[in-house]
Amino acid sequence: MKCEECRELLWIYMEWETTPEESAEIKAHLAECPECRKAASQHMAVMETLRSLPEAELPEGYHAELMQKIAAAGSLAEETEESNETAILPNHVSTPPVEWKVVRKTEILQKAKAEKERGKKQRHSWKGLSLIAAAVLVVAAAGGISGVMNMRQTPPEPVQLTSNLPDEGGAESIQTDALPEDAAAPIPAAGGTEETVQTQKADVENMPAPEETAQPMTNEAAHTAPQEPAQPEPESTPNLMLRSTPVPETASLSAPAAPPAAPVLAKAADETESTENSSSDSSITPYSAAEPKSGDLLKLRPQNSGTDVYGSVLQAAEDYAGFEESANGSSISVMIPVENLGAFLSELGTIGEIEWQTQGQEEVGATYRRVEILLGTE
Amino acid sequence: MDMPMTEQSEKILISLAKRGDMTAFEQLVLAHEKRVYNIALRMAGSSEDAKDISQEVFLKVFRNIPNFDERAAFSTWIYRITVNACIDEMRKRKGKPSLSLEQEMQNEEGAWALQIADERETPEEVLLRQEKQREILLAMEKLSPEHKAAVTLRDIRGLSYEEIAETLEMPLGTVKSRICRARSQLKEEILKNRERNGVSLRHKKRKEGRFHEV
Repeated sequence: MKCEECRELLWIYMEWETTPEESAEIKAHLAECPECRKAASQHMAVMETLRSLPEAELPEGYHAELMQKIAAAGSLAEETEESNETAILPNHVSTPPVEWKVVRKTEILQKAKAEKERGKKQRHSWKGLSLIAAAVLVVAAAGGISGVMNMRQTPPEPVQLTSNLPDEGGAESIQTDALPEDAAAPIPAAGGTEETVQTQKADVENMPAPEETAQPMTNEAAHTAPQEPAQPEPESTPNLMLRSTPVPETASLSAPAAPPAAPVLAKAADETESTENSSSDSSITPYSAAEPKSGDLLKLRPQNSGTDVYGSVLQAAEDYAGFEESANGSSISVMIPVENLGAFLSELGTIGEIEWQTQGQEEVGATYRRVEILLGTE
Repeated sequence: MDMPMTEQSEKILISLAKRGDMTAFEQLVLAHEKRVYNIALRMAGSSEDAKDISQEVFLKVFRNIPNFDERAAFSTWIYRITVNACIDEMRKRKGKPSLSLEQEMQNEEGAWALQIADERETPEEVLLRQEKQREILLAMEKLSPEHKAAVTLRDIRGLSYEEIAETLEMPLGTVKSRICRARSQLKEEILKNRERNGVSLRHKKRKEGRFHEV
């Protein structure tokens, strides 16, 4: 075996990936070749250094920013589905058809409809601002998703709360639009609409700079505000994992056999974003221990008799950053961060069979949700 | 990040996400964002570029998840998108990252990334290790995007050869030879740089030691 060949193969040899014949040849060659032995130790040094490169942490605010972009893309993409033109549509509804240069005549009617839809949805893309301005209604209307979104994102600088947006008009049930209103109409068509999403997304991303958004946004709001009732979207879909309803769409939660979905949720509580949010000036108030609000009530029957249900439930609660609120011989009441509720319930599913008694209602402004668990021992 | 999601949980989340469940999608993002960011970081060379590229990757994932064939591995798919996005971006910039490596080092995240010290290391060892890391990152900048991808996935991410072959959509043999080639290039580059700078690492270390004594 020649030195060159040996050195080439050495990389693989060091990972134990050479064939037995190759390994034998390399070993033999190394025994008689000091240069290649030296090369081998240099190879090792390179590998070690490569492997020592640490995994970098995500920059601050990364996740929140990302989710904001995704949410924006979700609502924008829905509207672009309805139009065939890319990047030509005006941003404001008041432009008369004459100015829509590239639009095919046959689509004028579609456009009118699209505009109305888009008008409704365009506002939704101001998620960051409107969420804070109308947080209460958002959380009420859209249920868990917006709760999650609210928790997660870093609000833009406070200045913008009173920025150029005129009448915020109605509350946005933003995320419910990002969700399909019927199960069959999912998110965006892929591919072709990408361009549009990019260009329109640019507006949304520039949101934090009030100067840039003044123009299109103002027109939008002025025009669309009157169109929409200032109410949350009536049909908030129950398709929200956090709702803790045993509805089939969230089958993964209610089925006891389902594995805990995303234990990563527990980490979410540790994200830097959540600490930023707790100091944010949003109108979401931390849970006040005033009166007991309506929470979830369920009965848990352990799979094996003799399981310490109480202990397991408590452990599960703590695993998801929750805590015990009260307990007696036959039940335990825990408080779970809203965003971890889904995962916590999945975890309960692994302890035993869940029998729902009452489903809780989403509380406006709550960061925790109470779950009362009857310890079924019969 | 370090609770791995079980394959089954992931499949459930994927099918929920396909139907538009944003919470499920967010869980998928949480499970993969750090890895995607890090791949982009090593390929693009700057944390700024890495952020832009990696976030764009998730937007692509978001837009295309309705078409995702659930029989395939989700992570392979995501990594493929990431690698391709990095390669495209690097081609656009002709390989010049937004921040030079030196700037990146000074940049908080970059510097931090290199400075995790092992408690067992002496200060000299820490410096030495950092110097080697710096050398290798500099050398990596000279690799072609395809070679960078191979080394990043194998030696930095630790994927198996099979996974890399699937991710890069190339035969196993090609993957192996590409990785070997990339590593050889890195080594040559490092040795060349040392010669050029006229110092060997050991020499440098001794120099530094002397300063400390003074």
